[in-house]
Amino acid sequence: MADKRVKYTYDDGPFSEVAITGKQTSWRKNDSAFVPEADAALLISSGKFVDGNDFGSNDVHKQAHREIGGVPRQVAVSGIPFVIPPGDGSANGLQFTGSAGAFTLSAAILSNLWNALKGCWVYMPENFGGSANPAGWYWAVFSSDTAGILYTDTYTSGKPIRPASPTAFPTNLSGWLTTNTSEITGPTGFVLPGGSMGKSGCLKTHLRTVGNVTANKTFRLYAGATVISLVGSITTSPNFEALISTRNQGSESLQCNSRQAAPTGVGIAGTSFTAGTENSSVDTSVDQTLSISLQISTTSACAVLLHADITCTYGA
Amino acid sequence: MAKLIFTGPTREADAEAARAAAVLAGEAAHVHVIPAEKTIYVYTGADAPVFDPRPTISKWQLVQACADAGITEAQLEASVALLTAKRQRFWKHSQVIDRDNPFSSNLRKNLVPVPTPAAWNAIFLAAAALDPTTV
Repeated sequence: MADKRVKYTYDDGPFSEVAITGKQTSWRKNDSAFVPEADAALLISSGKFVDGNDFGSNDVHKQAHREIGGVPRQVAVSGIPFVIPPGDGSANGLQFTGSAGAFTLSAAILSNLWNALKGCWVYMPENFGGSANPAGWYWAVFSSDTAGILYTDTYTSGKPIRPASPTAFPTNLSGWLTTNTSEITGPTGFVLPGGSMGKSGCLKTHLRTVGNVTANKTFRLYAGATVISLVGSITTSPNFEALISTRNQGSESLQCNSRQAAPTGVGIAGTSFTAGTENSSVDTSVDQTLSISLQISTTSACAVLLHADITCTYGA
Repeated sequence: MAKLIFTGPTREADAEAARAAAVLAGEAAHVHVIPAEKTIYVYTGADAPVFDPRPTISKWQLVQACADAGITEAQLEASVALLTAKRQRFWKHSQVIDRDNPFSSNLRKNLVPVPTPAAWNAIFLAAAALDPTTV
């Protein structure tokens, strides 16, 4: 029979295979070698070895990555901006101009920001635009700091994409928008597979946010129904980028998280610790759905999540 | 206190009614809209998540919010005068004030009368809501 490659993965070793095959070969962790196929079958069935060639096998593949260690894997990404627009319902913020989904803003969100909003998901409350429209994230394209067009295409879940051919509103939307100051879940539906963090692994979330300089903007990162990082309140310096983290603490159900602050993440220091957001107890041994929410504190505020991506790095 | 879940076509109105009722009763309320699930959660009372926004504000915002709360610029300057030289230089040259900066708590303690920590926090929250672009 042909030889077959096996790899020893059980412990640091040295380990003698004599009790399995009767041979005196000694192994240390991650040693691999070709052995007779009959011996390979015995070694693999012992649970101490894996098939050294079968990288198509899920277990072997996972094992290989775990042995490599420190390899981040993207588990969620949102490349399209999410916007909660301003609107007090009477004189400030977003106003529909009576031509399909065309709208204007009474002031720029932030000068020149429209250049990054040439396609974004904008949250609209129920019955916006003077019509019986359902609430949701609607596709919009800005054409200047104070003008744009809203389309009927909506986002609900999964990786946000740009609609290939946005559909114009069949009715002429009109009136001032009364925006929603509730917490609104934006990008969602990203599954963090159970066990993918390990006991000491880490989720790193790279956020790029912006907004206007009015009032408070808050962003929350969720695993299931639990907040695992809170960015806020962002006030007068809304244009920022953050790298935040959620780290398992030798347990798959205990985490320490980034500091709750604005800005937050790498490089931010403080003198206090906020229980409940800077620590969490999500069971990462089972699948968890990752999502990001946005919230503004008053109808004159505007929050924009420009980009987010979350990577998971396994830690044994 | 409660965690209320609203679904169906009238969920927005129903959730808003629940939130308003809680606020009217003097309870905290937090509303979380999950469009993908067509669900709105309304947390009230002790179930409402506690969120300390930790505002970092500009010096103008702090001075204006203090004025709005009845603390004059003269009172602030008198308080600053009792601080260390390092903190006085911070007040003079910094434009950003963090509520959790020890400077802030010392500024509060030197004020006459001394605002309670809750009142001081409320001033920072009010300051954060001031818009420096529309003064």
